[in-house]
Amino acid sequence: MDAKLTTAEKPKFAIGLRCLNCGEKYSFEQLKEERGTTVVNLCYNGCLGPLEIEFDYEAIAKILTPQEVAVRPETFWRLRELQPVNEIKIIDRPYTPLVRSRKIGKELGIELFFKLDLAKANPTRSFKDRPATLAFNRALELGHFEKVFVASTGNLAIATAYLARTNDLPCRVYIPRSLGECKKNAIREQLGEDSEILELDANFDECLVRSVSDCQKINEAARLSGQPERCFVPNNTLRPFYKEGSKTSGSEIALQIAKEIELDREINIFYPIGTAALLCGANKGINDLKKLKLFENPHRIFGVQPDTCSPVVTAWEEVKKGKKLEEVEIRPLKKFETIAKSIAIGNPGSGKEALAVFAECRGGAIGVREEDIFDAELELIREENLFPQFVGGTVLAGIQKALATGEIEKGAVVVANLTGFGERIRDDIFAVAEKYGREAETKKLLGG
Amino acid sequence: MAEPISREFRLEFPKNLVKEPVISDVIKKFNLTANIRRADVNADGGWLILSIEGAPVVLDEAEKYISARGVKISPAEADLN
Repeated sequence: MDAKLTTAEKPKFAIGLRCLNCGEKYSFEQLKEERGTTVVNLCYNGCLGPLEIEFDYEAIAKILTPQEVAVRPETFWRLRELQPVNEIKIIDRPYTPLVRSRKIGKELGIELFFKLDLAKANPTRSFKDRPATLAFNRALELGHFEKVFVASTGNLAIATAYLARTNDLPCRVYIPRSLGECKKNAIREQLGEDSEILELDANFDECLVRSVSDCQKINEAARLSGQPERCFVPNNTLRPFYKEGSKTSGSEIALQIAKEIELDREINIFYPIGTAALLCGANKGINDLKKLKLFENPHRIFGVQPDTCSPVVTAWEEVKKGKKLEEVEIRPLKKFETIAKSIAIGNPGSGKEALAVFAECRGGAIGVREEDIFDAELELIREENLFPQFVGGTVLAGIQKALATGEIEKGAVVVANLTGFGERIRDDIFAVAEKYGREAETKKLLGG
Repeated sequence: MAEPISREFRLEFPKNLVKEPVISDVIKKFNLTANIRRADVNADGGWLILSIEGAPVVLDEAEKYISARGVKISPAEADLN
């Protein structure tokens, strides 16, 4: 096989890939020579751990000077040199808004900001538009993919369906048959003509395994006949690229808030924890800016999980009690349930990395009660006129708890990430309201 | 005979199967080459990441066999989240 790389195969400012588990490094040339493809997501010479992209910061620093960044518009691709791309294939879009809280911040005695990934600046109104954009840009640059598969019960399926439709790729979404109608409809709305929903009598994990397995087998057959990969799963086949998209959440917040507060003030950024990949990526995005001297404020990152599904919080408690970070394991949960369904993940893939992030920036993991999530959700709707999914309520409840326990102090600068739009879980909200006996109040706020 | 290929799997062993020689059996039965790349198994169960080499149709059968023995098997890549 010809091991020569095409321009598209080697992202301009990336050096290669590195295993997050054992540290083994791979150049793009090496991947092409040894595997016949650069589409590799596991450490094949070593431990089969996940791979991450490494960048050439010296080369990036020559271009991304403070003067250069200052004149570039506030859009998704503003810091494109820090992304693994050569050619931009996905149309640019504005930053999602960072807005000051109208009432809740004052009530809590903090300077509270909301980062609105639920806003229309994200084409499908959730943070998943960020990583999915990077996976699709890579796929379109390589140019040999004919179909995209995805297993998701919500935001990622919607983001994938949208990108597939707008870039003329057929898409197949694997979902459990039991998924609510509101979500099924939100996915259907984004599906293109050649695309389909495959409803399986299976749980979410089984759908995921099926999508990855189907994709792998098609690509394996293609490779055996000397052809490149034909399909991809955005968060799997192209995982190393997908992951980089989350950096934009952190870098946007940093560059936006730097305009609002003094240089020496610390910022406390609160994220929900699902797989924990978003907060890890965001931290990387902020550290990139610090390396390039584009942002100087000290930052802390906090992750919030519902008490009923909190493997990262449990592990973080062990760190707080003095156990060494290397010795702490995330113990996967088999049974869990929470109203914040999009972060109901018992085995968070980036959980361990998240613990390292908290230790590095004096942040932490915070667990919150289901009732408090619901209260905070209604508060966001009532006081701020914002309508996030329950993960938004989870984040606000986490901020309230961090204040109560003294993890953050009065007067602090705090950013609450509202990562997904609430409309698509409207049926869930009313179901929970009924359970808590608060239908009338909820109906008054949301109508219907 | 089709060209041998390598597939990577994650196997999850429940407590009652920890002492069963499932891997040894599947290797002998299908005449495979296998390589354990990572593992965490104790008396209460555990998981391991396994590379298996063989013809694609044989690997399909081996996968079904492991599953039928009660061990949860999925592509190692499906674990990336």
